[in-house]
Amino acid sequence: MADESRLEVRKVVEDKIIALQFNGTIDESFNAKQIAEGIKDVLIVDLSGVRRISSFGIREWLEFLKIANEKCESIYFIKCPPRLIDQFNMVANFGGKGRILSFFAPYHCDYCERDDSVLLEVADHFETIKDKKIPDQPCEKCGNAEYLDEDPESFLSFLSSQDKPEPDPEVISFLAHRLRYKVSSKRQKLKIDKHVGEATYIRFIGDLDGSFPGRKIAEGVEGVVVMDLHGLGDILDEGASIWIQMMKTMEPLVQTVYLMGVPHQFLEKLLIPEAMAGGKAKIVDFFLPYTCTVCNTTMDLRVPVDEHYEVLKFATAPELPCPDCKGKAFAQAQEGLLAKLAQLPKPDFGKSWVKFVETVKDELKKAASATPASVAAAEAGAVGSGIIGLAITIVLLIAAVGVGGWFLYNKISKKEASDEVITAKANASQDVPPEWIKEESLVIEKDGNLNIYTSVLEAEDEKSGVNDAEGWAFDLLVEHMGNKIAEKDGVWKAVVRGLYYQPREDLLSRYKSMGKNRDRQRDVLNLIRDIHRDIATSFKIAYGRELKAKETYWEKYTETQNKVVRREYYKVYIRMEFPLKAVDAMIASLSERKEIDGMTLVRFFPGLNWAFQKTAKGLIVLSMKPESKFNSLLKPSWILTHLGSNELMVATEFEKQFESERKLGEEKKVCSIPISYKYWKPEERIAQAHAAAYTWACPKDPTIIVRPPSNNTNTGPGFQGNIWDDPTK
Amino acid sequence: MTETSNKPSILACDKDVMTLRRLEKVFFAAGLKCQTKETAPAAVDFAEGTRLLLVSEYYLQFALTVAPPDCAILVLAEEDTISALGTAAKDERVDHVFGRRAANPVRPWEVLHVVRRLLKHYDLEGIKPFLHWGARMHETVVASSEDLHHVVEWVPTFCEKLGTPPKVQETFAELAHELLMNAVYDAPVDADGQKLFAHDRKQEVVLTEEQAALFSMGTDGETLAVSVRDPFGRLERRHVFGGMHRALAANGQLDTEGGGAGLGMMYIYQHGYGSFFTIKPGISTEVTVLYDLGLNRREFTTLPRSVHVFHER
Repeated sequence: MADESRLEVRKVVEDKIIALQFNGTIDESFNAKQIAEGIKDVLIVDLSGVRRISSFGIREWLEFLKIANEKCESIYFIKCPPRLIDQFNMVANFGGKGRILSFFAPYHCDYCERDDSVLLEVADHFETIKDKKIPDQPCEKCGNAEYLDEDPESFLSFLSSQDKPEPDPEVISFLAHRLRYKVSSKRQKLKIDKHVGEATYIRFIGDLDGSFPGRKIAEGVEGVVVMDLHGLGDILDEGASIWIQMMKTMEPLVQTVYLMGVPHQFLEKLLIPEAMAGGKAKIVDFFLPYTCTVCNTTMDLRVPVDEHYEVLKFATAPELPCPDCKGKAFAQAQEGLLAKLAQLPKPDFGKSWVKFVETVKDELKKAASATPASVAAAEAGAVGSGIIGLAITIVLLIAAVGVGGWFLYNKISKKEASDEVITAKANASQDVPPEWIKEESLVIEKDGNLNIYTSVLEAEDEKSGVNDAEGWAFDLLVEHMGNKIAEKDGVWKAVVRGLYYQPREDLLSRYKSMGKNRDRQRDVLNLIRDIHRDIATSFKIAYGRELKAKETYWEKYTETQNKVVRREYYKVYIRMEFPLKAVDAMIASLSERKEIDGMTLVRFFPGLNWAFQKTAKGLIVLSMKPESKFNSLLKPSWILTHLGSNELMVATEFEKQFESERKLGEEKKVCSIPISYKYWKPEERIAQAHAAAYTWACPKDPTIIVRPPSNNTNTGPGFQGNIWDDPTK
Repeated sequence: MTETSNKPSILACDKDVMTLRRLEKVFFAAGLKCQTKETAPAAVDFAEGTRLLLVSEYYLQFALTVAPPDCAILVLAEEDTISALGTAAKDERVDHVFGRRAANPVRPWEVLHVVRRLLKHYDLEGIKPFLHWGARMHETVVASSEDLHHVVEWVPTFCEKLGTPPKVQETFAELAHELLMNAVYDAPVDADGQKLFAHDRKQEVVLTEEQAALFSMGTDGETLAVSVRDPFGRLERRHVFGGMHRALAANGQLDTEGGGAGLGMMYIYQHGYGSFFTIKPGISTEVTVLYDLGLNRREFTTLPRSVHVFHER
């Protein structure tokens, strides 16, 4: 058998998690029982290296999955190539109880005839996968949109049927450190779990950015604090400075802060005296990138400070065995960092603390799989019966910032049981609510200005509330202008408004229909937020400068049940002001038509972002006369984005740009001008990007043809009739 | 079935008059006489000498009740071929299913190819009849499991030179692997008809010169064709139509419980827009699969497929 086709399986093991990386072909040589040997609890299968799978290979694979289903609690597939997505779609139980975390989608760019394979994280595209319409991507080569080169209905049929994969923090951490794989390419909102017992345990999962509630975390901590950083992702500058502030606030309150599972990016940014709580912070273990000298694999390996203290103090990273092949692995760390590591104090993190952390992690795992109500009940029962063994009252605080607010379970006892939920105002941005606030969204012309009032009644925090309210205000403003143009211009109304009206209605009714289901509503809201951001960008480009809220006001509310604060949220109100003169000028500019050889163009309208996301510039084809030279190429309602390499933005400049491209083409003897455009496919509810070429005959240079003398008559011996009746055949 | 009289040997029934006009031209080009009808066939339409009925799926159930037992029924499927394949699995008169998009005519060359083969009995082999003149073709004898893997590894390299997307390259390697595994492991039998190697597909196999399979692959720039011929001729039409129908009827979720027969046929069905099976019982089985290089993956995925089974002596 040729070596290339042989399946190689790399096994990466850490505690209860096993990752298998397949490379090669899954065929008759696939030995299900042998490969499944040793798998337990959590199985991660990296399929990126699978080139092919044969029908016999499928049978063996199913055997492997059968064993995995029995032995494993959870199974995750990452980086599935399209050929395997086909099998997930076609073969029943191909994935067993596993979930696909990411897959390669084949894309094609019509503009440069290029095929691409794009790794898509299911978590990032969950809504669009559910709707079976993956968005176009910019082509790496030419920047134009490339589209999914598969029938989305069939290609996404399995993916759209699976639930949103939400791996445990341990799995996320394992993927990040051992496989260098991020579950989402987007920013991961920080999730914080906090448990107060013998010590305060705080676990961080996600990216440390500006939304990090450092002040809230620092409030009220005392004694010993254990911070689990295994799940920490990217550390942004804003997040790092909040972290430093948090540690400074903690300094006088705490006895010791233990930092566990410190990622190397944290070491690089935050291993500084200001972030170490005045020397009270001690690193228990950290991760450094290591490269194995035998198998050449680079991975993050855990370095326990206690165990390697004697080596670390000489500004040297310890040599560690490769967990895969047991070869020697060496750290890839800068000398500066090693010098800092040499200053680390010995953490004296005893066995009792290790046990404490394990117990808390188990508790959090149980709590995560239960609903908030059942967690409360379980906690109450556990305290009553003393199962947990903690004599003191348990205070369990699960902070899910950005996910569903803060859930606080405090001093739960059966005596205090009452189901009534009490909502109370806790705070406000000013003592007396201002007069201008309006409960309903409104657009009012007053004092030479257009005043737009919007509110967000259940915001996670004041900042995101203002952002959301501004988004809705932009939407109202653009709607207002759209209505004004539509009143005067029937063709514009039919073409431009006709393009975005239905997508907007559809998404807004989906949002409204979600009712109180916050999880589902959040996904749709994120989509709407993206569109609002696009509208704001388009608006900024059309108007020439940014528009922000003129006035803001917020109120903080708490929901309490059984004296336990269940939820905190904000009501945010804003007023946006826009001069009426500017409104009129924008309306005139956005509705100004320009006819070029029977084709009428108008500027891109910001409301179109409901259908065309990530688009801010362009010209809309409003109408087309049959005799137009563009008639065979372009159609009304298409949005022209580029003429050659020029971005299109102002209708009056199209003609000039076109003539300039034409002249350039003739000089270069390439008499063709590519026109990139986007259009809306109502039946699939997706925007597509394509390119057409306007071509004409180049003026010919006079040529002299010298015909060489030839006796070749282009005829040869043999049968000259229909080949099917050739008597010699 | 040779055309000897002036009576038309072909009856074509389709509700779409444009399709019928087109078919008339195709048959004229082939020098064949054809009777066309916009309505369902009736018993009286089958004159003596009518050997072929080309019928749209819309009229298929009528056709089955009126067509004589020796009349070959060629089905023009409507978008979805599941029902036509199901009928073919049950009725031996239906050996040919033409995939076509709704309201689109069938491919003229495909009709001509099938009809002429049925009426004129050409002894066609390999991929040459499916490609334009001047096409580049490779043929190689596969006489062992080692040869098999060499060929499978070579296929993506060949496809890459055609500029096919990586997915198509690997798809064709998969298809070559599937066809060759059948020819090298499943087809060989001893003198008593007992399978020689099918019990263990993991073993290394070496075939004799008489047992070896022939692998062909070629392209004319428009069509990519792959073909495998084994010298045993043991494939049966029920394997083809039964397997495909079962797989397609599972609504995209093929259940492999109970042996998984159908998976291999599903591979063949899905990997090309047309698959041609030429079975000469006891002599040879040849499977040829065609792929349209002009289509993008999205168009190809939704393209209705054709399946043809020829029984020849």
